[in-house]
Amino acid sequence: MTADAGRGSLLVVDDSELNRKLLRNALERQGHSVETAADGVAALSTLRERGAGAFDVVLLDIVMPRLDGFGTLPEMKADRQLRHLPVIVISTLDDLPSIVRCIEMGATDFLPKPFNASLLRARLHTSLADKRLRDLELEYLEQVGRVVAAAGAVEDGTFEEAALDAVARRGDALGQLARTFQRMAREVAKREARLRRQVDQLRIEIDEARQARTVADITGSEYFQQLRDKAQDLRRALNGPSAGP
Amino acid sequence: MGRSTLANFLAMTGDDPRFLAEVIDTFVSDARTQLDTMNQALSAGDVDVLRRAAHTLKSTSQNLGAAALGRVSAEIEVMARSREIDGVAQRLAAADAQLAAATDELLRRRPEGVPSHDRRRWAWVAPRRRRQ
Repeated sequence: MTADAGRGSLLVVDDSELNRKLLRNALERQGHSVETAADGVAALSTLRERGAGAFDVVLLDIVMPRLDGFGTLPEMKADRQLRHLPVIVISTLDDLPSIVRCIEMGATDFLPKPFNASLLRARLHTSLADKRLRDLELEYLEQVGRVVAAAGAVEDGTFEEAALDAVARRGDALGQLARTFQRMAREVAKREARLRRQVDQLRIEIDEARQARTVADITGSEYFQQLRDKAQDLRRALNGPSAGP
Repeated sequence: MGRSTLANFLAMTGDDPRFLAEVIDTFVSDARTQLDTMNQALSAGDVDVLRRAAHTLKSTSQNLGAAALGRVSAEIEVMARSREIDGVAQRLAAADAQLAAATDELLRRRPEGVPSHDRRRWAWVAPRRRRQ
């Protein structure tokens, strides 16, 4: 997928080598990057191998061997990864019922044969603009999901600020929400750290007071007094009568 | 050949002589392949293959401005779709003559001195050029 709204990555599906060459040439001269497939089977294989994100629009012929346009469209629509990819059906104008059937099956537009470079440009521009809009909507929904998940992570104590970095870079209200969320989470984390330090400090003080009390209890006991008296007596006996009390 | 369609086709090639030659060579050999496929499908009574090949030949002929060949291919496609193949043989003979005429005209327009990108194609195209 390209960033430029006017240029895209396209897959041309047509069993005619000549049509593939003509379309590739015209599309590449309009600045698009083009891959080709000779029928529906090859197209689905390319889309699934490369991933739906690798393409912006599929140009799909209807009458093809192995798997035609009528068979390819439902396969794409049934695939979660491919269903949102715009499909422009390529057809001669004398086959209007097939065009209508394809649009009912989910094709976004059709391109008549013989190909016309100006019409090709206009149709693609519209489909690419729709695709960009759809991509933005999907990205927005995905980022809303990240903020919701972040709220759950804060509750569980597993929040990581970096999880919202991409959302926080947005310039809109969702980005503002993500930045506010990150700031609040940072403040909560700081407060927690400060409280933890205070608790640790209090614990030290309590331990010291407890030790002091224990020492006082021991030194104030009758047994300790007796031991001290015995120790003094012993010291006197060892030093002789000249020793002081 | 239709002037406006041909002009549109030339616009699609971007006035690139090498690409124009490549497209003409591709058409000439692929149209022959489609016509052979249609003849074989008619002999075998396979109307689906006949319809698809007629559709492809119609589409490529229209893209290159070979209107008469496109029309007769469209007629064969309609007949194959409705499975009424009486008269297809005569139309295939007409298509053969129109393909020869279209080939002659396209080869006259083929830029001089541009070798074929595909030797297999040139093997079919070159004798026709020498005859002109």
